[in-house]
Amino acid sequence: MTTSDPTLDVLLEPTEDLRHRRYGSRLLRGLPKVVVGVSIALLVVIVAAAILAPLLAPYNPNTPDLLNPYAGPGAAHLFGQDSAGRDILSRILYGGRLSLLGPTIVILIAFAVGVPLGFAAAYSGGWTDIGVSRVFDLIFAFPALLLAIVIVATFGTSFYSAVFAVTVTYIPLMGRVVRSACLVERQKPYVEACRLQGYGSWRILVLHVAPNIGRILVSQTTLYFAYALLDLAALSFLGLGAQPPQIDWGTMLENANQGVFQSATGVIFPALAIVLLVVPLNFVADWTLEYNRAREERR
Amino acid sequence: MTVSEFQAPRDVRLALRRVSTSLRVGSQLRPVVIEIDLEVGAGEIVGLVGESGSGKSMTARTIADALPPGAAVSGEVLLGGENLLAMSRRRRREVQPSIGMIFQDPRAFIDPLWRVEDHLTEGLRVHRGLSRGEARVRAIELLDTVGIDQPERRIHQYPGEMSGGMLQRVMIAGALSVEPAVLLADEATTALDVTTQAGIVRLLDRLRRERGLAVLFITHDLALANAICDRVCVMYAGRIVEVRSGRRIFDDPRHPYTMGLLAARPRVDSRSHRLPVIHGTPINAMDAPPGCAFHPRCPYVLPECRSQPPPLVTVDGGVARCFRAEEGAARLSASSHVGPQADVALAVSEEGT
Repeated sequence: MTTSDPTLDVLLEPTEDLRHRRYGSRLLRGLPKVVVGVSIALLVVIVAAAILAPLLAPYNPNTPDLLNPYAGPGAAHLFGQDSAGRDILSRILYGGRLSLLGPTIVILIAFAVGVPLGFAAAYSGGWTDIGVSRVFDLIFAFPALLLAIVIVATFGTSFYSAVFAVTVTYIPLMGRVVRSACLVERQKPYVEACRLQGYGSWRILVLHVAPNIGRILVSQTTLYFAYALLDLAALSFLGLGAQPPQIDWGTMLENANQGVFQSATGVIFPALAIVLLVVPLNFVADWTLEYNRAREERR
Repeated sequence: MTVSEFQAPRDVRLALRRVSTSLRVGSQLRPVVIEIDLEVGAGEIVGLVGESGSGKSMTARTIADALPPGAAVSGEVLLGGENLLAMSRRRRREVQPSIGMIFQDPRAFIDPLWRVEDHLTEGLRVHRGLSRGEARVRAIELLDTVGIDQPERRIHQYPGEMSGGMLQRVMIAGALSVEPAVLLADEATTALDVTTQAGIVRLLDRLRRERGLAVLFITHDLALANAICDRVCVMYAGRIVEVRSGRRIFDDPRHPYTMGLLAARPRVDSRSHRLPVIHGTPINAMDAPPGCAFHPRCPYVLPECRSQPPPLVTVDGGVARCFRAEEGAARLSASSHVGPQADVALAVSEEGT
């Protein structure tokens, strides 16, 4: 505040305060650039490490070393060895591939199916809306994990049936976000102005409404990616996801869980990998929201 | 004598004949516009003036087919002689580009993600089938027409990068792009500062002279309407209560409501510290009492005002819907209970005393 007049300060202060209250906590709003930078850097490093795993991994992730089970971290094995003496660092690098591939597939399919459904529900209204929304409700009514377990039990345990199961629960999530955003957006004056210019509703939807909703979708999708990763890890942890010799961080946790009192490294490092992916994703999602909101406010 | 008989200009672009509009609220229909007659000719600017809720925006929306769902319209809206209300849906869609509409807040009415070029060329590409390149040339011309400097540069900007006045010009350019027969300007200058407002008004005035554009200028500012309109229609509670051409609405108002609106303007030549007010609150068409809708607030009320709807009386250069329309402000105030000592034309009150 640069004004010297104290009454002006008082007048200006509340609006600042209201802004914070309206647009979320001070903590989120003031998300330091450093945090965002570090988050993005971490995500890039983790994704790169997973992709380049064959080049980076010091050992074959599935080669046992039965003489050294539960060996602690050392010069030869930076993160230690697991119950069968396999190199944990190599397994984390390789495990990252499925752990990232899983949520990627989930989000791609949920996006491809959920977004059109959401648009259809919002735009046609009437019975289409009722039908789509009730099916979404039905899926929501089941506990997601239970639903996933049922699906995995039906189709047999494998990485892909776990992915399929999680996808089913994410389609209504995406659909609902799109539906409500679309309902809000199509009330906006510029959409009305387009209608008055005589543009077709299809044109308005695809060229005007959809891009404007895109901003919300970006952050939501980022967030859902993190959630899907956690859900898939949970399924793997329960033994319902990737099956040996496939590796992902969830199965590593499950594996190490039994020997956690011999060596904690087998639990700590995969868990850390998950945390270091999910937390930055949350920051980035918040940041995209905030960025768009700031742009909107400047208008 | 009806309003439209009096109006009858040469080349009638838009005509409303006994148009009534009702909005659906819950299970009932609420009237918002009642039996409006209106004509706008080529090259004319016709003002539609009234307070919030008087039905002026709803009149524009009735013309543009932009009413909320469930609304009911009766009467005739003639665009170049064709009744918009009796058309097939297909034909209605075809003529939609002939009706341009601009609004109070251009920032809300222009897609924020579309560059000016895309906004201006969309109509040309959709309705005229122009190629991108052709449309761009037209868009630059349009920007030039509406008085924007460096159109070649401006065309690449986003709405967020422009000022409100400039965006208003862009919105006008967008509305003009497909060469509409009529332009509905719904409070198009209300949100702008006075200098910008003057610029936009001059622009509209130039467009109607150069292009023969028919403009329906909706505002709550009687002085502004008086300044640019060939004819001003004053609305109250969904009805047109007075139509006058030229400056007569300003110099010699005949309806007590118009007199009240004029008296309630802040004036630089008056030493009065308080502005005169019209007693009571404005009502919408739904709550209109029997007789004249204005009678509960009218200082010159007669017994018949309470029971019968007033006739449309021909007065100098227009019509007024009032039993006492022929009397004029001076004689009215002399006869009213307010007394001749009242220094303003209409019942005025020192607010707060």
